[in-house]
This record gives sequence, C-alpha cells and structure tokens, in this order.
Amino acid sequence: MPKRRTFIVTPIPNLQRVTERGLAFLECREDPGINGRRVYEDLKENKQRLVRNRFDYWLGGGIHDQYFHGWSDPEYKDCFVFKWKDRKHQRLYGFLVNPRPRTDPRFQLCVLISHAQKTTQKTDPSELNGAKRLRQEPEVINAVKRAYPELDLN
Amino acid sequence: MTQTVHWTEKNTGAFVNRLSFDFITQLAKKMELLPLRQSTLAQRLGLTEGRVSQIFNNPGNLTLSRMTEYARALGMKIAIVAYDDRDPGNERGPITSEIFNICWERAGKPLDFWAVRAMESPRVAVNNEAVLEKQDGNYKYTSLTSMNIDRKSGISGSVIVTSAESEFAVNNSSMLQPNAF
Repeated sequence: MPKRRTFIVTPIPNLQRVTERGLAFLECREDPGINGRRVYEDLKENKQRLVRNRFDYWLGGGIHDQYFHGWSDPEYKDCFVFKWKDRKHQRLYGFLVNPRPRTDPRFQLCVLISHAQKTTQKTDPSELNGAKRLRQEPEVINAVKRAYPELDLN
Repeated sequence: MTQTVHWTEKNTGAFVNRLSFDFITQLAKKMELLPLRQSTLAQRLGLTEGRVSQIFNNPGNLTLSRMTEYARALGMKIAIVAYDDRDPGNERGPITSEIFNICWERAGKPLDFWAVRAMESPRVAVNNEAVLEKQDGNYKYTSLTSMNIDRKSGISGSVIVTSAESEFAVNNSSMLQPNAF
C-alpha cells in the first residue's frame, strides 16, 4: 500500500499585493521532489530578489516569456514555469488553478512545486507531467482550498 | 492570511534592485520590438556580449549613469517618477515602471506641460440671461443661454441653446462640462 502523503499550500509572503492573482508553494514532507519552497528559501539574497521580481511581475499582470510562461499545448495548459539564469537555466515548475470558482471566478493561483536546473532551454516533460498529476490529486486540491478558501461575501 | 510589507521595504538596496529589474525589462521589450540583438547593444555600449547578457539576466543594482547609457544606446530616454500611491508602508509593493509608460502612451505621449494642459477636458463658459415674469399668479422663467467652448478642446464652434422655458426655478451653473449636454 503506497504511503499516504500530506500536502500543504503556503502563500509566498512579501510579494506584490494584488487581488487578481496569488502565488504559493506546495509542500510535502514525504516527497523530496516537491522542493520548490526549499530551493527558493535557500537562494542567496541577490538571487532571491531576481525570482521575487519575476513573481511580482506575474502577479501584477505582466507578460514576458523570458521570466515565466505557460504552455499552449492543451495537455499542459495548466502548467506554469518561472525562469531565471544563474550560470545554468533555473526553473520553478507548478500549475495554475482557481481555488475560488464560486466567489472569485477570475482569481488565478500559481502553485509552485519543483525546481529544476538545466543546461538547455528545453523543458523536461516529466516536470510538466508531475505538475499536471499533482494538480488533479484530491489531497492537493484540498490543501489548495484550505489555503485559499472561497471568499466570505457577507 | 497575514500580509507583511513588500520585500522592497527591507532596505534601499532591495528597492533599487526592483527599479533595475523594471528598467531592464523595459529595455528587453524594446529590443524584442525593434528587434535588436544583445550583441549589437554590447557593441554600442563597448561591452562584451557576455556582460550585457549578465546584466539582462541579473541587473542587480544599476546606477543612474548606467541606466542612462543603456537607454541612450537604444535611442530611448529615461525619467525618474516619484509617486504617491497611498501606500506609505509599502505593503502592496512598487508600481511597475511600465505602467507609467503605458499611461503616458495612452495619453498621446504629451511632451510638455502645454500638451498636458491642452488635453485637459474642455471647460465651457455659459452665459445665462434670464427673464422672470409673473403671469396669472405663476412665475415664468425664460432663459437665453449661450456657451463658448474652448477650441483647444477639439470641439469646434459654439453652441447656442435658446428659449428654455420653465415654470420652476432652474439651477444655473456658470461652468458646465460639455458632456452634460
């Protein structure tokens, strides 16, 4: 019987404050591959600023494929990546989801999962497949909903 | 969810880092639009292509002199905008420089204060002449109104409104916006 995994979704603090979008890390103690938060927090200050700038730019509605992008391929339409370069190409992979379809249908949350380091621009499909699979996992969906519950409109 | 201050509030260096990022993003977009390669920019700046690539990947904290050099190398100019977004504690974070540029472009790229003033919504001078007569115990109000609209507003000519009659008191505004008509 496979070991049960516990997921936590943690909003990334101190970023641009907007109501249209949100950014969070997915964490799972039992899965070392879900390492986005650890890698981000271990970055040196100047590198972390580089990533934060990209996070802010996306949160603010900016478009710049050199910093982040999704995929037009319907297979990976909910996958997302933030990119920066530090000798090698650095990537933070995740997925897009709306956790508040009822009370805030336009809200867009990016849940970051894993970090990858590459020597080429090309994307490893295993990262995208992993993000896609996690997005559909009920435990992950519940963790997202716990962190971003429907708004209380009363 | 507890929201603390934005990361650029940590120290001046952090804020300058954000400004440098905003600036380089604008240059990167301009280069894409032209299009212009980093090697050409490097040549114009007398730098190696590797150095330019490094700056675009991680601008760090650029000085005003460097920013000016880079902008001029692309035929662009640079402005420093200080603004008050009613967020003195910097909880929301800075407004991206591109937003100011977008607004400037949408406003027709005014080049000076004259151009800004000419864009302001036109004001209409209204001259009211009114006659108040008592007829059969009721007051009758007759007005002859003429308006002169500033030609700079883009609305040419003048509008004359005649013989507005009412048996009630009428509020006369001396200055009206044209869309009120």
